[in-house]
Amino acid sequence: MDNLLEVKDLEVSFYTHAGEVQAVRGVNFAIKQGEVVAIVGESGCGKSVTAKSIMKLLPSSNSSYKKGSILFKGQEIIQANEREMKKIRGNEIGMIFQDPMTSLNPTSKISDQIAEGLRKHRNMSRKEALNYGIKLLEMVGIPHAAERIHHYPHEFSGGMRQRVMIAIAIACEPELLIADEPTTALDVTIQAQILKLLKQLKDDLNTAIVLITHDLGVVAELCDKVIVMYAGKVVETGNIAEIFRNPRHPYTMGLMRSIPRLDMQRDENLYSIVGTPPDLLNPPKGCAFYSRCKYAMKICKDFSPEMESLEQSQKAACWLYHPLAKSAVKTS
Amino acid sequence: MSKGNIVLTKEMFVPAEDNFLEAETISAPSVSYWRETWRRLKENKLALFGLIIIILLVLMAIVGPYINGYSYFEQDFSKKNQPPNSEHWFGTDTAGRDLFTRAWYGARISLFIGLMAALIDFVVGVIYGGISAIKGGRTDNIMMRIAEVLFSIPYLLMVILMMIILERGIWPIIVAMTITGWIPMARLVRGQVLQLKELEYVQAANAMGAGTFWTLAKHMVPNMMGPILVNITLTVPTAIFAEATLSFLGLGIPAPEASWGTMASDSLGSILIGNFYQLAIPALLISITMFAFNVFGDGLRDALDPKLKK
Amino acid sequence: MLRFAGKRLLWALVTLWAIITITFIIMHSIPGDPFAREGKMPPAVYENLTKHYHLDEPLYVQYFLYIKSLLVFDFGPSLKSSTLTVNDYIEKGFPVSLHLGIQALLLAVVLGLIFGVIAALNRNKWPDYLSMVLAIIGISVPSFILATFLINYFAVEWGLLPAATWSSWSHTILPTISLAMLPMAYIARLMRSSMLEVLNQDFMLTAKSKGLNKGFIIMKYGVRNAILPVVSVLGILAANLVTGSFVVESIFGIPGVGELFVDGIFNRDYPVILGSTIFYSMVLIFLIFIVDIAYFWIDPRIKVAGEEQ
Ligand SMILES: Nc1ncnc2c1ncn2[C@@H]1O[C@H](COP(=O)(O)OP(=O)(O)OP(=O)(O)O)[C@@H](O)[C@H]1O
Ligand code: SF4
Ligand SMILES: [Mg+2]
Repeated sequence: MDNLLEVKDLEVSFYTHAGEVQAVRGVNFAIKQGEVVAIVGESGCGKSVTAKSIMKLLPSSNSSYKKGSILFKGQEIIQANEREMKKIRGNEIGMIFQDPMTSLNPTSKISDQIAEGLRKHRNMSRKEALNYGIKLLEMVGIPHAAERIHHYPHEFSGGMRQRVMIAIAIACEPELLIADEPTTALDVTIQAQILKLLKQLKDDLNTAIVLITHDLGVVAELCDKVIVMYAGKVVETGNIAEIFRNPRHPYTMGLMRSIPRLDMQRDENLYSIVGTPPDLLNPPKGCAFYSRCKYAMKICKDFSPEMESLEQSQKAACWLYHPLAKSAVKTS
Repeated sequence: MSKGNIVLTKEMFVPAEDNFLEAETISAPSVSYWRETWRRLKENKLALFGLIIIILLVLMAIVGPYINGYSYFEQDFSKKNQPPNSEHWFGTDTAGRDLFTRAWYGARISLFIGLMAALIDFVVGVIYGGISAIKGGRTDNIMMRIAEVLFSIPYLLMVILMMIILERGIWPIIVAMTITGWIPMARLVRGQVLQLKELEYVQAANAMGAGTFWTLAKHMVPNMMGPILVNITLTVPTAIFAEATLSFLGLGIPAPEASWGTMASDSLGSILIGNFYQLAIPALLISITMFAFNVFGDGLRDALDPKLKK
Repeated sequence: MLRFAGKRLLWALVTLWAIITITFIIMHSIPGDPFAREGKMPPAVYENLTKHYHLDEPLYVQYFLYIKSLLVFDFGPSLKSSTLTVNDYIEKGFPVSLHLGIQALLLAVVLGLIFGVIAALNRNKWPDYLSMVLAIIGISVPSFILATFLINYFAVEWGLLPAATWSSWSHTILPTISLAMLPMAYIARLMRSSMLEVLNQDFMLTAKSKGLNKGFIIMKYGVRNAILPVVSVLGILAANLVTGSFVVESIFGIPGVGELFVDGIFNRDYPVILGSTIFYSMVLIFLIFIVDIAYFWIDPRIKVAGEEQ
């Protein structure tokens, strides 16, 4: 078994006063050593919930794994207890969050925040952890690291803080790094720098990365595989060339058209998909994209399409690729 | 052709025409601010309980003194120090006055003091805080500095000092309480106005030539009602607490009038001669009232600010 | 740092000046001649008063001399005695009040923090409800009523603890509890909501994603951040303790400044009332100053803001 991480039929729900929020309703994907997989989809489609499920970081009070399995190096995460998870978190899987302004502890020095994990998982002494922390900060490109390590988070800019977060996440050289929108909160130029850094880390350390984003530009730059999510489900997967050259799911097509291009006229409006995603409190029983889909057919309303293989590695969940539909598409 | 137990037919694969319409019907119902607040408040059983107690207290303060036919000042030394019985439901005090009537008469005075203090704090606070925020700049700075200095004098100490130069009575107590009591409200209002000033529709109203005061009244006050209501709710127990302490210091309402504070402090000695109920009744009433206003105020704040309740 | 401290010090002085001025105004707005009340005053006392307050000088001179005397901590004579001054009374009472106050503050802070944290960690479960019911009782029951109840049960009915005076440590237990209850309740509630807010922060997730131990996360990430608002209200809580101590000291017959103050009110001994008011204010302003400086050290974000200015 050569998959580092394998997520199968994952379903996760939250229980709120309004009812059950079915945040993740069936997600499948696998990632190998050193691979970079992107999860894309618009806000609220369940990307972060998927990411947090892998680390068992969901609030235990109101969430539950309803179905499926998450295998990390053959170990079932869903069954793992807290003690086993503590060995995995930070040690074998590292995580970077969206907002670097709020994801560091404001009342504790960077040195402590880097050292904590090292001392716990690598049994380093205070001194060793400090020295290693300085090396890490240098590695993620923080100037004057030996001095800066003694500063507090608020003394760093947003981009620098995200570098610190990355240094913390990779401190114990995890085999898998989950980056939940690591660039969304940053300026464009800094976004590019952070992406370059991630790419370099991947090459140097051979870390597998799950990169969550709603920016397809980011995807093209460093990913091998793409997973497109919509309303809690995976609607299309494939390698990057397939997805970019020939998106098959209508939602993915829409996403592709909404990427800004260099050859665009200045006054040309950026394409955006009309409508809003469905309410996950009562998800529709048919295709979730039905209410926004240009190609929608009668069947889509009541029956949910399954994932079908289309190319070597490309799969999509859409009735358009059902044998019976071919004629229908042609006539329309 | 079939898939699982569904039978698929060719007709199912013709284009759907009405699919975009669905989008509009799916969108979540928009519930208004107050309805939403009320819904959250109803979920908080403790706050609801507090609200019910407050309503009952107010009702009893209105009708309670007339129920059993005694008056709050009528003395009957032949019946003094009677424990609760069928004639005097809460017993009588050292002067033979009916404690049931006095308790609810006291409720009237205690609640009146609390509510008046809250109301005056509200009016002064809105004016002071509103002016400070609208004028802005230097005026704002100076006004807030003054408020800050006054506020650093402990509230109860200030009330006591004021009571030393004022006469004893209901209104002097209210005046003493409001002399610095308005400051938290003023700060709150100022903060809210500063926030709201940034909002588009207020700026739009200003651009359309509406006067500043008019803008304040029309747009801001309804918007600020939430936090202000919470503040008022929490001012009432503070005032009742302060009134009780004043009574203890001999600066409360003079006899034969009754407030819970005077009733409690007058009967402090009575428990030593076994008349425990004389203290227990006003003490319980004070505590229940404080409890009710506090839990209701807290619940209201949580309901208005769902951030914490996520 | 120095700059920040200097600013706070200046602020403290302004506040002190405001309080002195207010007491001066109050002294002169007391109806009638406050010092010649009912003509019962021994001539020696009246002479002391005239001398201290310079009653024969014009008002503005009186004002400046009043401030001057206070700046050298001279609180003036008392109506009670022709030989003992307010300073003498305060000197005797302050150690007692300080002892009681510190004991109560410690109790309130320690228990309040523990209750608050436990409540937040067990949100909407029974430990939360229990702590919050305790806190609401603490806020709802005026201290003189609480004190009377404690005396009635622990001292009179069950005879477990002494009820009054101040002669051994066991004498301090009931007054300390009566005094600590209100601030404890405040701290518990504040700590609970502050902790709940912190538990929702992103950095808590970061901490968890590092695989750290739960206890460590709660202390270093949770409590360490949640405690900041509690530190910032310590000044107000101290003020609460002071006003609470009037009542508690006089109920338990504790010979502190609070009892002095309450006796002053009952006897209309204005020099004592004003003197102890100003003394209290000085203590409080000093405390608030210390809390500000402490906060400056505890919250690293303020440090920079302070230094940049
Ligand atoms: N703690 C929670 N309690 C209840 N519902 C939640 C909780 N966390 C997430 N959800 C719901 O789960 C759904 C998926 O959320 P998720 O955070 O995974 O979205 P996302 O794809 O990461 O979006 P974004 O791009 O905005 O980060 C949302 O509808 C959200 O309301
Ligand atoms: S299944 Fe139907 S509605 Fe859904 S994306 Fe495909 S065509 Fe559109
Ligand atoms: Mg997200």
